[in-house]
Amino acid sequence: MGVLVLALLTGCNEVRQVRLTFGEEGEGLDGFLCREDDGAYLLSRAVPSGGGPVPSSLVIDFVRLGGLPGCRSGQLIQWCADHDCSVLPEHRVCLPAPLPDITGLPRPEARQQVREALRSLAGATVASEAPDEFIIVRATATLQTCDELQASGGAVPTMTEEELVGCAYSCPALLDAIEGDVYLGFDTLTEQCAQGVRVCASGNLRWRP
Amino acid sequence: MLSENRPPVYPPAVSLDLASSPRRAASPATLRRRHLRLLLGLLTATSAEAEPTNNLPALTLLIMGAPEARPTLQALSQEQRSGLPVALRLAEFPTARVDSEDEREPLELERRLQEARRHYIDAEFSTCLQALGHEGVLLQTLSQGHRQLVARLLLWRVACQVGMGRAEVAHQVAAELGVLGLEIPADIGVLPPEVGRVMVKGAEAGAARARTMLRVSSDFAPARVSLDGRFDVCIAPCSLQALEGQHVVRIDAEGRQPAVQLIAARGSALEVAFTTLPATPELAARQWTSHYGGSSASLDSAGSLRLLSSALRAPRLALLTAEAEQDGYRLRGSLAIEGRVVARTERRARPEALRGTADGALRDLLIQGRVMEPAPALYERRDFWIAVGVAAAVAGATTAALLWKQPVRTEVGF
Repeated sequence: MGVLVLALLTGCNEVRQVRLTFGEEGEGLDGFLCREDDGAYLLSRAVPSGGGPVPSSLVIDFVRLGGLPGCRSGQLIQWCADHDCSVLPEHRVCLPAPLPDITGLPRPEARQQVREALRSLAGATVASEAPDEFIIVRATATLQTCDELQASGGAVPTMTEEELVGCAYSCPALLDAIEGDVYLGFDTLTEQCAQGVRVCASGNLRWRP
Repeated sequence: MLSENRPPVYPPAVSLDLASSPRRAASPATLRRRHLRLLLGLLTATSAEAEPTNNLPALTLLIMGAPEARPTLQALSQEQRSGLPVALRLAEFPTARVDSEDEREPLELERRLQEARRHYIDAEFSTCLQALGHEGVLLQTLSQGHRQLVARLLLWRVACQVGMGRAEVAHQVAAELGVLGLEIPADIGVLPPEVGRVMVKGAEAGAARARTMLRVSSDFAPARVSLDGRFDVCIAPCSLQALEGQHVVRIDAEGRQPAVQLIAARGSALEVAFTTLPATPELAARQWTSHYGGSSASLDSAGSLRLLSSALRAPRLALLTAEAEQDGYRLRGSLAIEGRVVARTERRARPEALRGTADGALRDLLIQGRVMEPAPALYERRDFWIAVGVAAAVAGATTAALLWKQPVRTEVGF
């Protein structure tokens, strides 16, 4: 009887919903608005010749930190220099997410258009059971297809730097305990942040000068 | 003696009557009746055997003390709700009077003496001797302490022997008087002077004999030693001096039958060893009445309880005494197993708590006497550990319930 009650009790899991967001005004989308050294948006590198949306994929990764570092990019990079920060292969999710052509648009308008494009992801499930440890959630936009980037055999394919078009990440969090939405953003003070996107999208968040 | 007789536990006898009319063939009706009786008999025997028998050891209970407390204590034997593992039987103290045989014996001897005197007057000396009886009479009379009677018996033997003209034999009989240390009885005044002379000379010769050291021992101690009708001359093992010649040695011990020996003292020393037999219940009752019955001071002494055990045929005997005090009773208890005191207890009891105190005292005696086991310690009880286990399980379950967190599954999405 006791075992049955225990089994029933343990069988009843509490299901919580955690929503990923780039902010009410899309303020977390700075990583999708980075420019190359020549001043062009990263997103503009793959605009179809006839115009139209950029055929990109949005890769959601949960990066294991092995602890609880600070939230700022410098703190994260310093932490991962000494710890094994790695992507959890079984939790990688890739969603086709065409992004708009924002070539020549001012930054506010470009932000608005990207925000509108990503709104199509509303309701999409990223994980049915979040990892029970401290991680950061990272959303990387790339021109590679999801077929190329799906994890297989316990390993995740490395994303090609030349194909990256955007990136955002969360603060370290324990998703089972978090209250409210998880904010994804990109920590930069300048629009010339292509190098930051590459660091953000790297497998182990290693700083590169 | 016992106030309660235990019901028989044996099944009623079954009479099968199979041997009746062996010469004649039984009719079918007779056979049916026999079979029916046989069946009924077997059923009766079976049902009787199936009845639960009381296998508890019997404990005889004696109550004494304050009269107003006795009914409460006596109720112990009537109520079995105390849970004591014994079948209590209430008994009364022995009331045996001293055997009248000791009183009849002198009268019988007196009759013999008068008969012998009559034959002596009629000059029937041989019949005179026969009337006085054989040596056994003298032995028994002396062992019972009737020294004066024995002296008269010897005197008339001397007279009869003198009458028969057997002076030498008469002298030897007279010498026994001196050996036994008896005084010449007053009857000598009615006998001829010749008899008197033989009597005096013989007694003097007997008293002048050499002395022998008697070393008396017994298989049971303490035992009182009597010599030639003089009681309690020493406690065995002991040594006595006696003139050479025949003597009667007797020992008496509580709970044992008296033992008497006719010895012939000769030489410097003589070993006299006694082997006694246990007293019969009737004798034990007489001994108890004689030694302890007159006073309540030593009723619970070891000797008293030993005699009571034997007299009441009680292998297990408990004696409870309730003495009235200013504000209640002082309850004393003793337990004897096979006549040996194995436990004593003493408690004070308020009048309203006398029943419970007596029950506790009795239980205490039974535990001390190893008739029943004491209650096991708390940690030795199975129920205790079961309770501890249940409590631990409840505490564990409660703690787990308080600390248990429902498993959380978190879905992540846009």
